[in-house]
Amino acid sequence: MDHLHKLSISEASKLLYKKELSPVDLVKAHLARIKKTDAKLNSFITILEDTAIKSATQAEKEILSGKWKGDLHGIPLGLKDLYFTKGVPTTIGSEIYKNFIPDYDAKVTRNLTEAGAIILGKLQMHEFALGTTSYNPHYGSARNPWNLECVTGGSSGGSGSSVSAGQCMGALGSDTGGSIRIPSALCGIVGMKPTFGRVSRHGVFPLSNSLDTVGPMTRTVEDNAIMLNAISGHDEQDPYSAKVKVSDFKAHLENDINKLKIARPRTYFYDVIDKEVLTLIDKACSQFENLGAEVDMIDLPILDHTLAISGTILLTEAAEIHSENLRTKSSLIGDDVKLRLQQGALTSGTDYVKSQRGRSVYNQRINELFETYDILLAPTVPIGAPPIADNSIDVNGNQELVGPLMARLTRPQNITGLPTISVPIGFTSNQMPVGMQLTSPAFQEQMLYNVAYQFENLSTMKNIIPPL
Amino acid sequence: MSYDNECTNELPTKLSDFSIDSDQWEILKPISETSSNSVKMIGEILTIETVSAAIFSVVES
Repeated sequence: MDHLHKLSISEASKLLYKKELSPVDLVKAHLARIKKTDAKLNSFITILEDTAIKSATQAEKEILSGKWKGDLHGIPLGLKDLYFTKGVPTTIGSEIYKNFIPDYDAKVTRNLTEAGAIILGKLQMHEFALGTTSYNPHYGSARNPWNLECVTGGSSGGSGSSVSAGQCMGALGSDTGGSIRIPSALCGIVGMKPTFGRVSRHGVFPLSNSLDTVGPMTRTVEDNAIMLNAISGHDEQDPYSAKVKVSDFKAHLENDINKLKIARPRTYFYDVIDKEVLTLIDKACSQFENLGAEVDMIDLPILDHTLAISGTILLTEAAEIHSENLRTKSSLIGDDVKLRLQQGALTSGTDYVKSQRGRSVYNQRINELFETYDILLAPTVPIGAPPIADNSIDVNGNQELVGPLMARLTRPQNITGLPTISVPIGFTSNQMPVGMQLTSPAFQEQMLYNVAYQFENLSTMKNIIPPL
Repeated sequence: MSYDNECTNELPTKLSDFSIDSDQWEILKPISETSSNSVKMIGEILTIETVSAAIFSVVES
């Protein structure tokens, strides 16, 4: 039982299918891991021990009777606490919604349970998903398993922490300005922000209607593809859901990436970056070249408008969603989140429209890039995870504010809606993980998994779990 | 007559709707101004597809 939390989804799934592993044992091993580590990590807001064991017992009966549902049957997973779960508190990381109990499941919650997955609980997050550290005044900070004094990144910090620490085998996060990719990078795991519209958001508490995406966080690329397979597809209940064919994201992991053309923008992503992160990105580019890919430095000046476009749209849409909370319950909102919502509420209508119009041009310029290149490569976060207590951090001799710096490099892909995967590429000298993000044209997640998988095969960062 | 609701030096009248008091406004005012100024820069990339810009240039000439 001691080793079961170290299995990947893919490894466990093979054992479950062959009836060499019981889903009840697998779930109990993860619950034991949660009990052993969560006082340190604070990953979970709600643990569903009884229902998890009950579901695992049911899965065991089904598997033993030959009713195999697929790769996620009997696999223990976690959900960021903004996914609606019928009859289970869904707090959105807030005091305001601490007693909110949905009467239906989110579409993706249902997708996972229908695929046989076992939900272990609801995971810690930055309040309303509006922040990059997962510092939370109501439920405490999620803590990074690689150094408990450091942030997990956010807003899906509990998802990053729990998957990294082996408390669950995978989790769902949400990504509006980087909230899947940032904690994935800082916790040393794989995070996918799918194409906008690829995965239904029905029953997922919104932050920004034109930027929100939901996606999986796992310890391997293959596991991530398995989870995206289960949650992708059109849903008429989500007005932004795309009617596009869903491929098997596992199908082409082994494909050769020889002659792949990778673009590496020379500015914006490197304007403020820790030297050690830069060195690891350089090394990753060399590894791609060793695999036969071509990596070109390119100019992409449109990126200079990233923060204005993303910040204006995100905060204004968030302020609209929370306008009633801001008006009548503001004393219950944490100071940092309240300030951002108020900033959004003060945005002029003309500034919002100008940002949306700028977004059209921005997207056009980025999409033109993909007429020449297959992949856009960049660091995910410009620093390793900083200490929880620090509001600012030294980057190459300059003091930078932690909050804005964390999401600086992940915002472009929310503006464009393009799919982006963050994969671990190494450690800083103080043993904190670093991530790289790969972006493709819309709905090309299959190619992203292929490229990330080939990279992962050369890496020592696959399915790594920190000592706790 | 103003046709915009852009940030001004005066305390906007609707701040109470957002639970903003004068102390909070002191913090938010420079943030909002900086943010609005960065949005103005987006105009640099809108000139090609902005019909209204073309109309104004005709009027000015």
